[in-house]
Amino acid sequence: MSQQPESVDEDLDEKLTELVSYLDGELDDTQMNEIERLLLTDSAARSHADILSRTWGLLDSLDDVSASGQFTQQTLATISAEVIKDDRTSAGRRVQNLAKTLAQYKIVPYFLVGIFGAGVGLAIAGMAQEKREAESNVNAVALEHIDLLPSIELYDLVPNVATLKALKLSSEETQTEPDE
Amino acid sequence: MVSQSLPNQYLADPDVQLMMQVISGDDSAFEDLVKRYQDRLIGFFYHLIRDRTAAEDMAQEVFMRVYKARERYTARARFSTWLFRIAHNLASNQKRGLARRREIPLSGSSDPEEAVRREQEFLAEKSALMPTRQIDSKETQHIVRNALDSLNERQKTAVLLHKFEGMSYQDIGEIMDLNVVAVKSLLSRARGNLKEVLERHL
Repeated sequence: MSQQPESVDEDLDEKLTELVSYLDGELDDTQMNEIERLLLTDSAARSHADILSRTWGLLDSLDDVSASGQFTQQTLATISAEVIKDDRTSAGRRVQNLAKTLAQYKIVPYFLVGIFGAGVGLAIAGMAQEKREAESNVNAVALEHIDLLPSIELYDLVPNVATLKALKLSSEETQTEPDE
Repeated sequence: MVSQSLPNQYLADPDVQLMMQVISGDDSAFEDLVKRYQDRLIGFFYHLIRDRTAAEDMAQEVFMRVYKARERYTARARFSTWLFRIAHNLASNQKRGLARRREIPLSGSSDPEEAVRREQEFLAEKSALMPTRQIDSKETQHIVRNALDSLNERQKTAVLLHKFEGMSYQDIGEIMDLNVVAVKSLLSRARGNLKEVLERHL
């Protein structure tokens, strides 16, 4: 049975990928066993694996690179300076952000002023209501004792209504006695 | 040992522990982290861009980003995985920026055939002086560097992380934002390309 070239290439690619993963220790036990069986039976695969390993090993010849002598201290100093700069500007930035937010949402301060105004208005209305009720109570008391009103000029001399009533009762008692 | 309220598998990583101390305000812990990773980061960038000064600048930038991100840091991976993810992102951004400005490319041609041609020219020049000599270590370095430069950016990054940092496919995937299958394919092609360029020198 013939196979399309693309399928053969894909199979080969897949085998090579699995081979690399095997060399990298990234296969599970089942896959690893399969590759090891392949390597035992297929000399081309063995040769390929060998070359892959050895060319990979050549990367060890690349130069070792390490930090220059002052790198650590320079890095720490640079970061420290940057952090100080950030702290100074962040305070100013916070104020700017608040101003921007208030500018973006103009209705919010107006809304707050409106709420405050409504609160003040309600308080004033409440106080006015209490005053009206107090006056109404005073008027009711006055109507109840309307008979005392003729002697009103004497009321400045008495401290309260109870005292006035007591005085009135005393004068009514003397009037019942016949004149001599 | 810094404790956290929730169990976290990565807290056993000593470098994660150091980072937790940095978050608590311990600057000496940050200095320890710099010393532990500076050579590795500089080596990574150097083999990517082949410019030592730029490599040190980029390593410094990575540490800067680590320090600035400390308050947002949570241990969702090994510290090295997180660090090299920052490094990889920085390298990618730098390369994109340079490409936009049409400056000198960071690495050599991404073409194995071009790498072979350059290598043959290099060796021919050397061989003209002494035809029967053996390749010395400096030449080997040059040849290997050339071979590495023949890889594309992603292949080279994967090779450096796997070969020199000992990262697993899973770790490389987290760093490069790839799944394991994609990393497998990437490394397979990279090693195939390296084989193509280097096998004649074995």
